Amino acid sequence: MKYLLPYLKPYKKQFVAGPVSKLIEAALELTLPFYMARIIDGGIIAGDRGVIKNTGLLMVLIISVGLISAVICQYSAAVASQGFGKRLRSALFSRVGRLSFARLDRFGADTLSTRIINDVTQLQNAVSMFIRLIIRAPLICIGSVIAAFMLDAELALVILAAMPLFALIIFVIMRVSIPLYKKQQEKLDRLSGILRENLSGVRVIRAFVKTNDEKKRFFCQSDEFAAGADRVGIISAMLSPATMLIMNGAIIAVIWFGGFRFQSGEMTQGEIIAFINYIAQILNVLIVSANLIVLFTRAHASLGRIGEILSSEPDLREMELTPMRSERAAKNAPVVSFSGVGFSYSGSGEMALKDISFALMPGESMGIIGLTGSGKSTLVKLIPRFYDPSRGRVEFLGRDVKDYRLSELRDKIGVAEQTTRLFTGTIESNIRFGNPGASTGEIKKACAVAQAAEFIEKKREQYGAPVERGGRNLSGGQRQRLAIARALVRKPALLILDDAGSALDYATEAALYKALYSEKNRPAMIIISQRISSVRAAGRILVLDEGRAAGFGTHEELLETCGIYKEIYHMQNREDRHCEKKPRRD
Amino acid sequence: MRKKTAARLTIYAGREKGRLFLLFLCALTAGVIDIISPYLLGRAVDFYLSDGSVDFSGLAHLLLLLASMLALHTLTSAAVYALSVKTANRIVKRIRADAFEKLTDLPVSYYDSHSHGDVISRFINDADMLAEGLLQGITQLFLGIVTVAGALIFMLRIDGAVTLAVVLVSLLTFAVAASVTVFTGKYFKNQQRLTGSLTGYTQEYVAGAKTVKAFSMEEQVQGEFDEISEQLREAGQKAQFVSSLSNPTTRFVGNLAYISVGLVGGLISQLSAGGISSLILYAAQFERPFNNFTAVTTQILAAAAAARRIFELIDESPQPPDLAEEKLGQAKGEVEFKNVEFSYSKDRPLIKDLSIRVRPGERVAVVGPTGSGKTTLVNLLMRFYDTGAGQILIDGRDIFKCERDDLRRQFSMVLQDTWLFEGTVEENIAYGKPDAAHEEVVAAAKAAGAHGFIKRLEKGYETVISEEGENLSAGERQLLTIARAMLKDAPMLILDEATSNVDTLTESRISKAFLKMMKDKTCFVIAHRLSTIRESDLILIMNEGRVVEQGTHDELMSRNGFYEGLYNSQFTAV
Repeated sequence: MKYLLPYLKPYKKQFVAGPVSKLIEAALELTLPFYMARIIDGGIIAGDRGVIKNTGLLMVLIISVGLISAVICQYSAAVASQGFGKRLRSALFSRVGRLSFARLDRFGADTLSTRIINDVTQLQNAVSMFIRLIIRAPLICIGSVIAAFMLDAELALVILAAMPLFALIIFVIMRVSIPLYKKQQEKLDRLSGILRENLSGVRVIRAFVKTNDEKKRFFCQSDEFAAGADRVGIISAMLSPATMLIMNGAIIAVIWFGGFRFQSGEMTQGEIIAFINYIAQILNVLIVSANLIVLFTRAHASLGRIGEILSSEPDLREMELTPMRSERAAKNAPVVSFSGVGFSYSGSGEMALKDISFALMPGESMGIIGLTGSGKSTLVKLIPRFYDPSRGRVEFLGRDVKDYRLSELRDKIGVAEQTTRLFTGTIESNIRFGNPGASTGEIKKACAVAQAAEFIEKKREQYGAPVERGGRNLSGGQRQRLAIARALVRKPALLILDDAGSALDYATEAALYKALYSEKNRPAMIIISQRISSVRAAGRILVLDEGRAAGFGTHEELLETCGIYKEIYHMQNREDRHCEKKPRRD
Repeated sequence: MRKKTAARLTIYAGREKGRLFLLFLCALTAGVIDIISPYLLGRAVDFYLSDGSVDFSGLAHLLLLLASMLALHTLTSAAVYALSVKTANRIVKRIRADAFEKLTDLPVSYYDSHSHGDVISRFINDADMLAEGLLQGITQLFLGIVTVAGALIFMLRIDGAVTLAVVLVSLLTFAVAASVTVFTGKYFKNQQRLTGSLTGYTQEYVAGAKTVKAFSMEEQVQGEFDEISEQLREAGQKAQFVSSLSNPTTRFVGNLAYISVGLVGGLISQLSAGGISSLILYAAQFERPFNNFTAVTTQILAAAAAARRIFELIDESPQPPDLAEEKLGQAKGEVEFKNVEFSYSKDRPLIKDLSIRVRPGERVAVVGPTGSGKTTLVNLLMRFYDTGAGQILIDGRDIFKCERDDLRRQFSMVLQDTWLFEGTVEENIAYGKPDAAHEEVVAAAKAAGAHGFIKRLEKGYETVISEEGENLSAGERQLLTIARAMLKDAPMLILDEATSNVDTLTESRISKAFLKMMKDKTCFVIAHRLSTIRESDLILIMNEGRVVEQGTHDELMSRNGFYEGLYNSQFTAV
């Protein structure tokens, strides 16, 4: 609950105005029977038509004021609840953005978006109901109990006896339903997971003729969800009838025991009727509260799920201090240097990187080669601090990467990966993602270097051509080239190409590297690839094998000294020579 | 439009006739008791005799009767609630099922062109909203009808004029509520639409959170999110406020009715005090359901907007129905494209007059620059998209005349996009052959070169692949899709950039398995790396949607054309 206070605070005014105006409406409404009694006693019985008319008009005035108060209350509720929802959503979204990769993976995109949208809506409803109903119900309830006690304290014990019963029922129902609501939300996540898979995997599902199985899977989960919704819905709905049962029992008890009070002359008939009316009033209020409790129970499950996000600390602590000032990025400091770096993904004890050391000077470039799973991508992820090394030190422009603000560090690095994330928008908006301040010229330049200009300029809308979700409407190679342009437009000090040209044909890839290397003031580059032809021109090549540096040197040096490199080279080279020799020897 | 939504919901509700009838009976019983019990309570107090004594035996009898009636009331109203919950959930489940049914029958182009987050939002947020609204609506409707009818009868017995006044005022209530409904419809529609687009945005950027971080674009993305979120807040506030007005307004009108009982009763009908007090009680009872109903209008209106969005999905036009005039059975594998034309959008033709002929067991390689239409061939062959003109024949049969499933069973395929579902490694490999023995799965994994890393996973073949397979590298995921295709034994094979995510060493290790797999099968191999396709029987060179050259490697090399240039470019030193 304490997580929510900061988002509720701005609406203090509404939290006062709403319930107060609701209270005014209720109080005004309570005066109506009094005036009606005047119409009956002073008007009808006394036969005075003027009294009837005047009192009637007064009553119309009263209910008009009541209407205005009610409108104020509803307005306060709408403003506060929707505003609260917006603030909470914003905070959640920003917190999700700061979650570590490991945590993002653990939560998963489905449940995170359900929480940001769906769960917030639940809480928003609860806030609105709270404002509209919170004051009126307890006040009427307490008022009626006091009035009952004033009428006859002994008979009022019946009400007192009913209260613990009521509390017990609320307790039991909440106890049972809260965990069930939580389970329901989990089932909802699974349902949305199945939907997402069906949407993204439609080709595979249809190719494998699995549509019917997917239907079964969805219907099965949907059945399970509906069954759960029945269970929890029915349990919660029982609160109302159970409350009625208790209060009706109390009324019968009052009439029975009232008989003795009447016989002993301690109460009049009218008093007992009034007593019953008070109980009826309490009953009405309790039923409203019961509905409120159901709503809050549901919101409670959402609260827990939201709390989970808000309370998860980002794994990487940012530098709190302003970075050491006037650090003239020492001219001869390497752009990147690793000294004795070791790394293991938390959990598995296995080291993904072991004792890696190298330095990359400005304007230099290096290649990294190795088999799938040898730690190539892990290595470069340590530079922009997607992970922190378990051992050793990573320096960027002569400073430990931990001494930077994250944004300052990442602003100087451009990354293009093999699997590219593009976003719904246009080609231009996607490239601008790398540098919002880029001029059109800079964008065109980056695209030209990345070999993307040609296909972009063939499109009718050119740079304004739409990009659909995830870049679906582009081919893998086009996506990769846009990703490279996006990294280039940042004018980074370090450019990391993590297998970023794997979907390009040879001619395009060759042209890309040619353009990159012929750039004046080109950034330092780290090029990860599985193809020797891609890394060969980079100068020195780091060969990784199961997280270890198996070799580091130029192509020629590695051919002499590094076994794995030789193996990779011969395999790729043998293929090269195939053009003379047709049959494949496998 | 609104009527249509209501009418369709009624049709769904109609399938719950039995339950609704029971619901009505229970509501009737509860309502009757609701109306009689004040009367019985009054009678009970009459056992307090005027001489100050109490007729306890008479009182006991009456109270016993009252107690059993109230117990019955509890039971029946509990049943009303329970049945309402069940009915609402049933209706929504049916609608959700119909929507999913439709989703599986939509052409692939729908999937390619719609925001997935928005579609999911229809199934999750909108369906939830609908269930909530239906529940409130059903409960209030049934409990309300009986109370209104009962109160009306009792009022009429006392005084006609007053009743008329109350009814007229109530009609006014209804008019007010109805106009609010009309007024707020567009706000709710707006709110649901914005919820959908916010869901879409959130899905996309939460899934792409790593990219956002890499570019330290958190602030801008947050800004865009906040912008949509603010629009949603504005729309939501309007919808909520305007719709919530109906409740105080009806209460106001209800109070007017209350006052008019006094005024009409006193000035026109000249009723007795007793008559007026009874009338007041019943008028209040008469008004309460209206009040209750308008208290939940917000939910009901939101539900209507939500229902409309789900129906919108159900109303999408499906892919053309299967003709099933021809049967492929176990195809020999002769494939022919005859003057095929195709485009994704009408104004930009992609494939023009494409004709190729492949004999059974031949290996066809398709090469060409990115964007030249290679993958489109797969889309057409598998009928993910249908040709604009021309024919595709398998064993001489037009695939347009075959059932899609029959057609797709002829192919095993590995795509560049490495889609896996959330399930164990074993389930994923056995996707195309769920009854495969564990040994078969392991054999396929070994052949695909995946066995090694699977063994190293925490739980081996039982490891659950997380959402979108985030715990595996792209290369590892691709090996699983290759194993999956190997296990499905189909007469033809499609490899669309099947090894683009795998390193060359691993690629050469699994090439043996690929060769074995391709033996005696018609194969379509799409690649941009030319080394993998040299031994093909037929190489198609595509450029800008056309086959510009075709032939064997040697023929093409000697022709000194497009292929030769492409081929030699891979050896140019960078």
